[in-house]
Amino acid sequence: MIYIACALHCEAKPLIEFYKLKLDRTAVYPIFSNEFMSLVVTGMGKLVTAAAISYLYAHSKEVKNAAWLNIGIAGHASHEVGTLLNIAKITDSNTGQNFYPARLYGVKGISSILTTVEQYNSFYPDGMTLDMEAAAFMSVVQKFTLLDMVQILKVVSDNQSHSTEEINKSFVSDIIQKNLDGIDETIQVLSSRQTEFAKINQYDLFDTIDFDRWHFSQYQQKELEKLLKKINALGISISAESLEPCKDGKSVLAYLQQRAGEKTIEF
Amino acid sequence: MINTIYVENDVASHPRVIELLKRFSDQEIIPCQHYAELFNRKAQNFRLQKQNPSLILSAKQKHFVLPAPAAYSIGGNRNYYFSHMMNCVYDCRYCFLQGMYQSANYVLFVNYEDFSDEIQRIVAEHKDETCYFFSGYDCDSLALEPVTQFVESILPVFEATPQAVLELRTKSTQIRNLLAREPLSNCVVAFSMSPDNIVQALEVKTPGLEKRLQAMQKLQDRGWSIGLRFDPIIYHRQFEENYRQLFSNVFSALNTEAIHSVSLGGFRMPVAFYQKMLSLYPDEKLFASPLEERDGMMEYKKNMEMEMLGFCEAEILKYIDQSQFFPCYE
Repeated sequence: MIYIACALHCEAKPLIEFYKLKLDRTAVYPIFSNEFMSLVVTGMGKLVTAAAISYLYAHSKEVKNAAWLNIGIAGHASHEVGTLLNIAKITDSNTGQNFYPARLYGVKGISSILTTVEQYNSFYPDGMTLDMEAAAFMSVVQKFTLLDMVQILKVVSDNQSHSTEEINKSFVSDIIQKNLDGIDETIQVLSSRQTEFAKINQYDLFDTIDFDRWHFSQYQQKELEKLLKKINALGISISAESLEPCKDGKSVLAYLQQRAGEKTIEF
Repeated sequence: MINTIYVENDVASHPRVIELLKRFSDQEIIPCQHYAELFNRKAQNFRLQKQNPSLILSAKQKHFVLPAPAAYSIGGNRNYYFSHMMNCVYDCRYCFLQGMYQSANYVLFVNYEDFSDEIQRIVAEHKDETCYFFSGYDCDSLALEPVTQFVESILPVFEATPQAVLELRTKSTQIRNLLAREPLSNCVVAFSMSPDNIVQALEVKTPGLEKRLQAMQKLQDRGWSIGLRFDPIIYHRQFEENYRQLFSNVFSALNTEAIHSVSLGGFRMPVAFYQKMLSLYPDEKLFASPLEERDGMMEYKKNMEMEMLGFCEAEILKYIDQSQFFPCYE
């Protein structure tokens, strides 16, 4: 699952259309989803962002170690309006705390450092991207996932020659729309990484254990997991038929223990 | 390939940083307050980060040189270690670094002079004893030398301090700078060696056995003292055959009388590190080995370990004198 947070609906609109996301009517927040992706429109500012992200996580049954992406508009002194920025560092202007999203090969956008401000004004510090949400996004998502799965993309909406007063909803949707290719490539990179990570802890052998037939105490369940990992690592195949004579969880463990001990490790 | 370099604000104007960044003009440079902001964060995955580690440039503030663990000896009583870097360019599956650190990024401490000062202070404090200093505990001593140039910086310190001994522990073949200068009699270049099948399976990204042998030969021919580190010994099918062959290959390639020291140790790992490594690589055969917990360490079962080490010790002592041998076990 890939989770996306946008502050404004007009930022989210091109993504909702591109990925054919449907409004989740069971949700309190505006959440749009398909089978692989969930997007929440958070509202502007740190507090509402933190609340909306937390809600999205809880509402989607707390999928741990998923990919998270913050997409939105931001100001920058010199970059042209419409430029896609890949944020490498975020500083919370209020607390001074710094956050560093992962640097992933294949992610699009010009590298930039960003400050999340409480109040937006027309002063653009040299070389700095400005927004109102990214620090809150980072602060919260690191409780739900690995920092290696988090990215922030911003599209420049205002600069010294294009003020915030010239921004309207259709303009915002338009500059996001024009960067959909870059955004999609980033989502593909995150998706691959997420799949790769999920595979690390996937054991097909668990399917051979009939949990309805054999009862395992909590201790035995831990032992079972350890043994199955070991058997998996050693490349030993265990068929459902071979477990057939086992009368209870204890005898399943004894059988697996015996099989795990049979094989000498080869490199 | 390093794509991203983080630079601590306090070292941004350090001459070594300026020089290093000149050589990395295409890389993404990101300022940071302190390396720990990145390196010590929770919610990081070592295995994922190892695919594309970043470099963090920092300055170490204290603990430049520390007493070495008890078994870390090649004949001296005063043993110390130091690490100008944290993390290694190689990805050995048995390495404790992946269990110890949250991050796979490399941290390079650019204030080399502080390491030198501390080494000189310790040597001056123990004038009547030989102090041994081990480099390559938290990183490979030579693997990133073209970037760091740390060894080039530290060797003159030992040249001026002949009563101290330096060990450069490595699997690297980055020996150009060593070959280009006069050898130091008080510096041991110690190569970690494993059978080729173990190198292929577990010592990811390292130079192959043959290349390490060639590097050792060149260094020995040039007059450098060579050390051999058969540590960790890894149990597997045809263990005896493969280690016997390894010892034969290594010792026949070198002038054995000129070998400074040979050490030997089994796979061992603090339990907490082992648990973390297992969670990173649950599919790794090494961690499915017949291990047991003893005194807070995961090690091969006692009898098996003694058999393995006994076999290797006997084989090694066919080639070298007992005085050259330093077992890392009791």
